[in-house]
Amino acid sequence: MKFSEQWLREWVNPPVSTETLADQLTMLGMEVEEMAAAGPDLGDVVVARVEAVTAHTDADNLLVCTVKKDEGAPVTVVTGAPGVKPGCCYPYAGIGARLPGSGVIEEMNIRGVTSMGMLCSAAELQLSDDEDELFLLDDDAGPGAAFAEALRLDDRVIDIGLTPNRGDCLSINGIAREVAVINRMQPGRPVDDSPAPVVHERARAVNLAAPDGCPRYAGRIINNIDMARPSPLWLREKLRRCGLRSLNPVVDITNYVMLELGQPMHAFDNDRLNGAITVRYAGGGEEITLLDGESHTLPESTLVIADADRAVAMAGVMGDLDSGVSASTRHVFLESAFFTPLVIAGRARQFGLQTDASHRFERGVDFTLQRRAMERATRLILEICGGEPGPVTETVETQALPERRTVDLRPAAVERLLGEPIDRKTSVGILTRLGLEEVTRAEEDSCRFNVPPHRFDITLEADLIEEIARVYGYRNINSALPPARLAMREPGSRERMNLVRMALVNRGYQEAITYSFVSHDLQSRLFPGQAGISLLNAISADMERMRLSLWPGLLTALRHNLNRRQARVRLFESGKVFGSNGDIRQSPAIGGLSYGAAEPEQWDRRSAAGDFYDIKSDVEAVLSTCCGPVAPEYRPVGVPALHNGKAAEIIYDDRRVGLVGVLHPEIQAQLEIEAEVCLFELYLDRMPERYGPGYKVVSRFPVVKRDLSVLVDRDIPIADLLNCINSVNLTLDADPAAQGAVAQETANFLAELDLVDIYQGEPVPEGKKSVTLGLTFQRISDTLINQQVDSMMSRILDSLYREFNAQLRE
Amino acid sequence: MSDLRDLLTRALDEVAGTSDERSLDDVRIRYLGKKGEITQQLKRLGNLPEEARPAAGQAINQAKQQVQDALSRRRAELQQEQLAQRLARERIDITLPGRGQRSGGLHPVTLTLQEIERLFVETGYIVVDGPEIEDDYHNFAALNIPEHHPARAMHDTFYCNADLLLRTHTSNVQIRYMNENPPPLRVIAPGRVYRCDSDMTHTPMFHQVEGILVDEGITFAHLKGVLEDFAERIFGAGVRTRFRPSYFPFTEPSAEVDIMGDKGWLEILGCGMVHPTVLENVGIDSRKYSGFAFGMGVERIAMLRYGISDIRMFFENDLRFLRQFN
Repeated sequence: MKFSEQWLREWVNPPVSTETLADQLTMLGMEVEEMAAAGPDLGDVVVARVEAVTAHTDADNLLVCTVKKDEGAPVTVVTGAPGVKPGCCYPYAGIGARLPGSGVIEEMNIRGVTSMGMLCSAAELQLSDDEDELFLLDDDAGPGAAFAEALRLDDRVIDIGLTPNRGDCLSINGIAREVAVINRMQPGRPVDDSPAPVVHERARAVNLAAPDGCPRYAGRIINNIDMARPSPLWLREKLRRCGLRSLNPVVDITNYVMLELGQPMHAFDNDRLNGAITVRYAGGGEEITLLDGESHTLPESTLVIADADRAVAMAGVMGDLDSGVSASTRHVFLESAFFTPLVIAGRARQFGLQTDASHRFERGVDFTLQRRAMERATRLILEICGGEPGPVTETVETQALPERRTVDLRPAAVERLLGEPIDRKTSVGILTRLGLEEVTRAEEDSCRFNVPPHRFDITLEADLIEEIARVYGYRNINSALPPARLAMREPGSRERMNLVRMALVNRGYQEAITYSFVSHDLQSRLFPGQAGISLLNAISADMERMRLSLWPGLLTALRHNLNRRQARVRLFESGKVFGSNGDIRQSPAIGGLSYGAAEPEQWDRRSAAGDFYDIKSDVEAVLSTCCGPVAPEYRPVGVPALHNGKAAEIIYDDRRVGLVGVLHPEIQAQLEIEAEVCLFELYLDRMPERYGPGYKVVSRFPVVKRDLSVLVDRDIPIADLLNCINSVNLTLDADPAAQGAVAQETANFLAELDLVDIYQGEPVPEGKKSVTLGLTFQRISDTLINQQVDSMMSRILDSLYREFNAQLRE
Repeated sequence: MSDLRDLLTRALDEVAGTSDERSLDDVRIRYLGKKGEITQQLKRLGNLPEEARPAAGQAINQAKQQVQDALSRRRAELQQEQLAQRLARERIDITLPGRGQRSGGLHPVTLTLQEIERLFVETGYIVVDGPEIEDDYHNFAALNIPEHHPARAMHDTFYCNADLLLRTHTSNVQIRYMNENPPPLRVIAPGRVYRCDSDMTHTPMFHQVEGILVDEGITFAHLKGVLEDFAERIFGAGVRTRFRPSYFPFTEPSAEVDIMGDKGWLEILGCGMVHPTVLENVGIDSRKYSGFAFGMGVERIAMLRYGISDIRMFFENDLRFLRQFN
């Protein structure tokens, strides 16, 4: 909320500087977000009276004014502004004057008339954006007076951020209350809100048909007001400094009272109303065209003000266009009502509206304030527009009004929650200054307080303690460190995740963070047939669907970097992916993308393009970090996102824990990516805990190494050959030493199995491949002799022959 | 004897004059070989009168020893020279970059998050995770934010359907964790949060770290102590902090913490004492236990630490940006 410091100081004027005042407000919880001068430097501008106005003989829309700018002779000023009236005062910038944002005023010949200076609009003075009409000054400012003084421009506009619990501070009255508390002063009440003498007895009956939404409604008819009188300068200036535009005197006055006391009001053109006023919920399909010109169909939960015919206002939000006050209004019907926060809350937003009234009602307006506001507005109307007030008709449904709450405070609880020894006297003193009333009570260890009707946010003891802390000052509460009751714990997934991250970083990957929502178009190319979870209110089509995988985000990041001429991109990301098969699935995943050369550019050799096997090695590094030495199984897989022949699912214990492969060439082409993109994704929650064989004895006996070259069909996966060899029974029949320890030792005979070479082409026959394996044999308890190794080799070869028709290659 | 002296002088000169091991060998053979000149002298000892032999023999042997020593020294010298030459020949440009894979790096948000996590983990907090697609209850209602509460307007929420939304803060984890774990508890919950907002200082997704400590006797003074400590670790010793009264429906009293920057106070986090209603919502006796909670935006802290002015940089994943943090 923006307000004028001058205005506040009319209510409470503590002997502190503006800066101290701002700090006080901030430390009371009303953060000062901005402080600005009330206007620019207008030292060269003076008040001038227009004595005569004649039309320019040579231009249709120019006027020639005779202007009295000081005690001396009047000067001639040409202006294009409409509505200049003889006898009125306006700001005047003479020859040589400097205006903010424009140059020095010079003598000008305008179509044959010499103009000696300039009459200014608010926009020309940079006071508002109102550029058409001249800035009208009150008559009592004499010619030659400094404009800045006439306007009392030595003021600051203070903009405070108010949290939604402090609706009571959305007025000068409310802010003054707080400033008085912190400065130990009594706020003044410098306004006339005494009941105005009633001149006639005309009134409108008011029916409260929805007391839960409107338990109190005050109305009054004021006849014969003069809408032609302008709002006085002081009123317009206060509104301007609080960020409101001046519209017409009646609307200006209702706005003024809202800013001053916090009570939003509405003024109807009394001639546009028919019969009694009813405050009720909207009927089915009821329509309204609001003051802003927008039409709405009202849902039945909308509270409206209706006359005998129709809804004439959306209660607490905005009035309708037809019944509003206009220049032709003669009699007004003023409304000052209390609307329940819950009934107003969210209603304005539902229609894309946010009005000063709804902002206040949904936060809570003092439910005892209505009559006082009515009298205050009446006084101002009588002063400014004249008129004849009728009686105030106040309709109340007492049992529907908010409760007058009492809240108990155990003084000991203050220290218990704040950790600062604040005694009972201090606590009670603070609450009393805040307007809470201590109720006499017998018990020693507790006090009871009546909550004032402007505080909607105080219902619990904790609320009272917060008030005490706020006024006592957060900065006066001494810090301490909390006591600790700590236990040791198991490592969690965070440690594992950090290891995985570092494994990828060490392999040249850069961590990316992409949005969790992606383009449905891109995602459905990768995962056709999977709708994913969509957002009802996405920011754009590119961020419309929750990601099923990390790949759409990573591919988008790849394209961003390729467009910036990066030739080699390695990115990974960790984060949740979101699927829905009936219920929502949110699983942690880690995904990576590799594009371009396998290694960064070298000075002495060209690095080959990275391919499936390069990224597979990265995946293997991650998995060994995560799951230990037991390797998973890689099975060929067909998924739409990946190249059919270059894609694997990664399996542990028959469970898919991830995918690795090359982006499908068609999608690659659609995305206009030049070369192959390698991708992987691992689902961390499906990964086994780190496990593997325990420690094995390291043999002290010599090893025997043999190579084995076989010819097999080209399509036979190498993993199958290796599995076959690893499962051959290598027990030594005639070895009594082995009998007892067969189980342990069998595997150990073949200590290592390496893939040495794979070859296709001459002289290997078409459709075959030559596979060379390096086998290392060793025993734990003994030295192997050649015959034993020969026997094992032949068993292995037999097995390969039986399974794969493998031929020994000579 | 003058012959022997001449011979010795000549031999030593020749040793000194050699330039490689082969010429050194030649010198050795010429003087000490089977037919070498000093060897010959020894052989000719027999021709001398018997009484002269010992002295002559001793002189010759001394000369032989001197030559042998000179040869060894020279050999060692030559080998050193050779080695030095080889090393000089093999010199490479060690300023050329190393070969092979170069390290990548972590995202600045992760780096900041890890630093925050480290500080709290070291003081006994455990790190927990929570869902990002959340229901209205855990994101709002349980946190004392009923429907139509004006505080909801501060959270521009993404909705998946009438009940499911993208969490607007990590405070949902408070509720989920407290529901299942009795006090004492010290927990932080880092993660992604979402609000429909996008400009220089807002992105529709960002990261928060939520923290909560509930035990007997926990006070606002403790909250101040912990967060002042935190601000000093993150922004440097001596940083000025300020606790400013604020409002969150799920804490009371509530505060925002500002640090003094170059241009004035900068907000870094929100915090407060856990609201008694929230404790009751998760079945914790608010007469016995109290606690504090805090929540901070990770990007905001990263921006302050690294001097980044546009939050959107974090999510463009431009390598030229990311590599600066390696």
